[in-house]
Amino acid sequence: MGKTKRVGIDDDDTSFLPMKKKMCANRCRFHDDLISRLPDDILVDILSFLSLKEAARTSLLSSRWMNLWKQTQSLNFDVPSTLKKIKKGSHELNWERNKYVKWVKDVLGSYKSTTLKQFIIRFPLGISAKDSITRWLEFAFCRQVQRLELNLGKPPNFYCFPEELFTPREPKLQHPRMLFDFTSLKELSFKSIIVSDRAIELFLHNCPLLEQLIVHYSQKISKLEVCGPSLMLKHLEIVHCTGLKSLKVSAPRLTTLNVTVLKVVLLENVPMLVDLTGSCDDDSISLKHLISTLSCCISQLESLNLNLVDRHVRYVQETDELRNFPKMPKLKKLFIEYDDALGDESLIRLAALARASPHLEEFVFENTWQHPRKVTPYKNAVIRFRHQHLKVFKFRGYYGHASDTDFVQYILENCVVLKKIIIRPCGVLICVKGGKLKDEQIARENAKFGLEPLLPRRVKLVIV
Amino acid sequence: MAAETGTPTTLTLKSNDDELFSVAESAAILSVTIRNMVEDGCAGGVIPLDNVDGKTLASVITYMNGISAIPADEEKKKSYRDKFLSDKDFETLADMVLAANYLNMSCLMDAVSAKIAQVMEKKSVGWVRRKFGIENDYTPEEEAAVKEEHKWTFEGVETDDDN
Repeated sequence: MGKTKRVGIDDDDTSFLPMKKKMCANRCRFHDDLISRLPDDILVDILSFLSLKEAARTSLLSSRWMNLWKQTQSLNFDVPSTLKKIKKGSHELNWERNKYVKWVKDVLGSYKSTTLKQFIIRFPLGISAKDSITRWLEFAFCRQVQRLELNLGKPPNFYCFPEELFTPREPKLQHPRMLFDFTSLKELSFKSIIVSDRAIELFLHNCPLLEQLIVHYSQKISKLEVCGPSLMLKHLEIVHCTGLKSLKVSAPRLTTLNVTVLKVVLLENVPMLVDLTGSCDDDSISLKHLISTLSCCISQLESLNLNLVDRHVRYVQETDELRNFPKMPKLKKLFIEYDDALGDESLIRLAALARASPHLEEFVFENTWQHPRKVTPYKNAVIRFRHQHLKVFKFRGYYGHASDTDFVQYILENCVVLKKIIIRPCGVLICVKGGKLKDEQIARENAKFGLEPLLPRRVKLVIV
Repeated sequence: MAAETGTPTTLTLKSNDDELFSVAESAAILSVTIRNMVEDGCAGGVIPLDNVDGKTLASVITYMNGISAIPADEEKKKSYRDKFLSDKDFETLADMVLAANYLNMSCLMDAVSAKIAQVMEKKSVGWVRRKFGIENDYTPEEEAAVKEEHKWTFEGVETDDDN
């Protein structure tokens, strides 16, 4: 153990020293062999807060450090900088894939801990990595992994989750019988993995502690039931699973739910659900349907994030539904995303949703448009309502159409404590060469010259 | 005023250099070690903490009082922890992580460990050795071998050794 020398300054006193003196005091101390007096398990704890690369680099410090990183409980194989380079086209994907597989293999080969808190694979691998991925999953489940993420980028998917992991191996196979322990799993995330309803239900059945379940881009999810009085599940995401035909959720501890298609959802026992994200981007779902889907939780929601398509043809029929939109007394945050909103009908809907949420504090509206277009303002059907709590309004995809301005004006007139309007003119989905920049510039100018004169003193306009 | 619900229980903690500290039981039981002693009924007199010196214990008690005064709001607790640790030098942090480990206070332990890790982040091997006074006991051959084995850890890494 190293000797430690103490400088006679109480550490609380150093806070009063001028910066320069303080740095000097620190420097004097750092020259002693300070870190070496900490026992290995604490050093391992410290290393677990570093990225895998940074932690492994400490093996060069001295012989004591050589194997410390191999005992950290976290293996996070995320390489955002490489992914960025691949995206830019400066790195060759296949070469990087092989390198990634070898890297994971080497690290797992030298890893020393028998338990694992976190295991993350995040890379657009190819079909040749199939067997390796299964071995990595086995590696993680042998070590009672608590948080597992397998993210293979974007579809097309090639990797199918091997359900046989749940059934004990036949001893005749080459491997000695491996013991997989799913009971410690708390967080599971599968992105671009072919995973079936059955596999998910096996996880729900075998992982009594599971709190978070995320599945993105799995076409094999079709009729899923996430039900059980003893489920610990708090967060559920079933996103971009295009084959999903029905999703039944009955989970007494669930607080957050994110599903792409709301119309297939059947909510039953969700007394804790406060945060809901979903979309009605299928035209066949009416607001009425949406309301009935959410009926068992709408009064308890605190945050609602809806992706809607514009259905301008039907707005007249909808007006009555909108008038009777059930109240959301606890809603504090409302996020509405519109694909290609057409002025008036959106405004009527938005106003109705805002009116249904009297305690709203933050309202985000995002309008994704492909081409700026003109609309005819039609404001008569909008129901006005005084908002006493809304402080922040964010408008993404602002262009400066009459309808855009009308909407901002509606917010200004009805939200008496509003402090801030944030405008981000970036709703362009597809842009022609140079078109995006030009549109954005026009949108910015429209925002500056069109909105500024409308603002009362208390409201700050931010254009980003 | 409502009727008194009884005075809060106070515990007396003794550091290994014989300093005595009074602390509310509700704050002190953030330490699982202390909580176990309380539950076992050994907290009647003075609780001796043989592995913590007075200076560190004073700091830990400041933390116990500060964090237990914050209601269940993880963000506020986190910002309190950040502020609490912001002006601590490395020696204090090392003392504190040892104390947190002994007292079994996982929230403080994690916060201090993360803070120490932050110091090492994006720094070269040489810088960390100098800063923490770590003696390089590898022979040149050994060092070359370890470096070869861990070549991947140097890819795409830019170190910033200026501060």
